Amino acid sequence: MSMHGADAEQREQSAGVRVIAILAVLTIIEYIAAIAIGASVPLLVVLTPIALVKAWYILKDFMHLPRLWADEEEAA
Amino acid sequence: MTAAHSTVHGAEGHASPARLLRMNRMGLWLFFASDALVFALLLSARFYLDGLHTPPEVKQILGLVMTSILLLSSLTAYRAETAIEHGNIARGRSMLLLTAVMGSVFLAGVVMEWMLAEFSPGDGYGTAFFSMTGMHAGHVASGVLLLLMARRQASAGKFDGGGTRAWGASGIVMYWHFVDVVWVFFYPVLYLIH
Amino acid sequence: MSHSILRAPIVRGLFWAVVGFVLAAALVGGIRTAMGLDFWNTTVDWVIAYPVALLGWLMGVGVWPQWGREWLGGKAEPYALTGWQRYFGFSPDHKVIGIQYAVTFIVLFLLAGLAAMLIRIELAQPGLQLFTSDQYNAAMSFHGITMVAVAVATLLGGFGNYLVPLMIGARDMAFPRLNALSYWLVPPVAILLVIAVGMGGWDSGWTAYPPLSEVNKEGQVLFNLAVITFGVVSILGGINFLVTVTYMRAPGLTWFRLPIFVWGAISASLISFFFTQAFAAALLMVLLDRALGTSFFRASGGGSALLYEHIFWFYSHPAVYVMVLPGFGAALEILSHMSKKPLFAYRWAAGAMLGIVALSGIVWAHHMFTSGMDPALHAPFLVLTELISIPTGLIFLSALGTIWQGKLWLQTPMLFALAFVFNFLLGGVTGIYLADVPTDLHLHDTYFVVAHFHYTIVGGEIFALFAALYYWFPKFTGRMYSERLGKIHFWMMFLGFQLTFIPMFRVGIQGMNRRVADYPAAYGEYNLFISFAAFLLGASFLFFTWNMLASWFRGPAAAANPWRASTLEWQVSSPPPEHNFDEIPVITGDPYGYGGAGPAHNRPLGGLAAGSEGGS
Ligand SMILES: [Cu+2]
Repeated sequence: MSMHGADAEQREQSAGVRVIAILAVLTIIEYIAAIAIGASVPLLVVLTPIALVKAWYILKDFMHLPRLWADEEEAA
Repeated sequence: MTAAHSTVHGAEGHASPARLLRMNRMGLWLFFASDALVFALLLSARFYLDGLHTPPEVKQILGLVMTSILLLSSLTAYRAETAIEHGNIARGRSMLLLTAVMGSVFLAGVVMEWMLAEFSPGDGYGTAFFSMTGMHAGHVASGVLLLLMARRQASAGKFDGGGTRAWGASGIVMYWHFVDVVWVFFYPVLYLIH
Repeated sequence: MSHSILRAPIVRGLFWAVVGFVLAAALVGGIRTAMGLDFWNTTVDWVIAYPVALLGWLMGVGVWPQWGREWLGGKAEPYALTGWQRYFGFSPDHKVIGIQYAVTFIVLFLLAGLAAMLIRIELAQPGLQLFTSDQYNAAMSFHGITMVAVAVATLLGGFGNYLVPLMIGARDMAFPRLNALSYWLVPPVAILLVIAVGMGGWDSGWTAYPPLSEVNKEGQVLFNLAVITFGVVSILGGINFLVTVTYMRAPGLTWFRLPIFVWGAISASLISFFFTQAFAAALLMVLLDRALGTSFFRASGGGSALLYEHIFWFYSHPAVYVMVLPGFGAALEILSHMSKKPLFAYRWAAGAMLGIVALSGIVWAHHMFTSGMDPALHAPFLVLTELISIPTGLIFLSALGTIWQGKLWLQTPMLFALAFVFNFLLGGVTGIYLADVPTDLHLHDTYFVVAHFHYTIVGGEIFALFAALYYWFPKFTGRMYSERLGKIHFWMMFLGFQLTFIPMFRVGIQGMNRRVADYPAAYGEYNLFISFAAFLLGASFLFFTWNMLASWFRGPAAAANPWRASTLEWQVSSPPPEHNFDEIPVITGDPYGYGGAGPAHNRPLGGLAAGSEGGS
């Protein structure tokens, strides 16, 4: 059955906090960039990669994208 | 959205729980890919109709607050999922509820924004704004319902033991994150570019 | 008796649909009255009340007892209906669902065919006889969208659902209840379209181009809702097939041992799960423009009707391949089994199907050469479109190589499959003139286009559909069809089809416009001829319908494997047992093991394959 390890749960929980901290910082950067950068194209150049990085973190860590091709079934 | 395999029909009796989990997962990801295209079409329509123009009347502070709430709700959703996967149903239930509440607050924000909007749905930006936020809010609303359903199922003992049995909750939480990913792109495109 | 009829799933579904609709409409009306607007507004009411009604329909028809209870932590009931009644409820069995799709869409096919007959009566002479212009447009639009739905869903939904699990040695689809849900979304589509016709129809064809589709009658709203619903059917079905084939293949059944029909189903599923949303999204935007006052496509608000065409064709070109790829698969399957030869260049054919999937997403603007889009787009879309002739050519060669020096067994299914090869050649070659910008500028919106796409869709896919229908009829029903009636159907349909559409190329080149009820008198003679040929084509389906009904109820019992074919579905009884395989077969070779030591696909179950009929 599943590992009831409170340790494992705790570890995963703090991983989540780390991700949300990164997302928060990136969002603030986005917001400031939109105020600070007046020209359209440079702003796009800044915002696009930030959005992609944010999406990647959610896909990878929150939605467990790698589980799609992982060989092991966790806690089966 | 919940476990799409049939326990009634029993036709897949030969598939192991791990195999069923993989099938459910692949099905859900294909659904995400498919749904993402709808959002992508709306997003490209925004550029097609109004280029990079964003009217100054857009409520920046409100947008930032709503974005933060939605992002934060992804953390609580994640906590719910990990808790349930480890068999900690009680914490899972409260985190699901918290996520649903934050989702509802976000929805209230959308309603407020629609009422305060100083642009009409009839112009280029308004067309993009109302349709994109509307489509997204529809997904958030269904997500809130699904989260509440997951909570109910948790209370009924469906996820007891965690592991592969947690899929029903896990799938719904993944849907919630997916809606969040959409907003990661919609937020800069609707509020920040100019 | 009356008691049990009231408890029938369809009756319950209709009841809750009506309840949902009335409640939602009352709510909308109440709010509108409070806002000082009219109580009833057809557009707004349908847009809001229809989804509620749809939910009521689904729950009533069986989603709630068999699935929904689980969502709230309860226990679902198993599906209870048996015998003939099992076809009239929320059955999770892929074989039942396959037959539900096939029968529903063949009925729709006959209905839309009837509309075509009416159109040909009107077009037999210049001037207006049978219809007003408006009624003509409604008939043409109904014929168009219904046939598109038939072409998309009969082979993939009907035959795909029935056959794919059997062919891969599985006991069902990956998500049986999702499968049932997809099917039960179909009746609302048909009901909406029929109500729309009853409301006076809509006049924008199946393409629903704005600005017309934003200002015409309210039938348009129902059309949009119907097509969006149908899009959901297509997407859910596609996902189900992809997961099924990925995870439920029998041991030893590697990707390149799959029967080619399964490859056709996979390729079509890839397209339908990834492109269908575009059509749905475009129609949703039209609804938003109509109901909410947005301006996606209204030039007055800064919108662009051209945007619609781009989104629409982004799906609707690939949709052609959702229709045709399962047709390719079925035809190649039958050509191989009825020539008793392995499928020629099997891997190339499977690869070509995937190649078509890849290319299909980047050619859409060949429908728009006259739309006023940026002329710089003409050349790239011309070249990309013509690239598609490479993979389709490969499939054509695979068909030719398969029958080459084979021992052709000219039963009805084989005749249809051979006709498919012939028709698709003509459809493909005439397509070149429409992909080429200079000729397309002349031919666009003429009967040349009508003839061309009828050659690809009817001549190609629908002929393959009938090949499949006769070929698998004994498997589906456990009975044999009448070969004599089948051959009469074939020859009438084949001749009627050629005589109808070849002259259309001619009047098209001469400039006769499509989608118009009237035409200059100079085209009169040709059109009279076309109409009589079309009636011949239409009459062939009387023989078909008679054959199907009589054979299903009273035909002679069919053997397990009347064609002595090597694929798995023929290694079980006709019709197959409830869970297909008592023991999951182990696959040791490719599906077309003719001429070798014997069909390797069926070795573990070889004992069941003994039944056979004397061939001609
Ligand atoms: Cu095309």
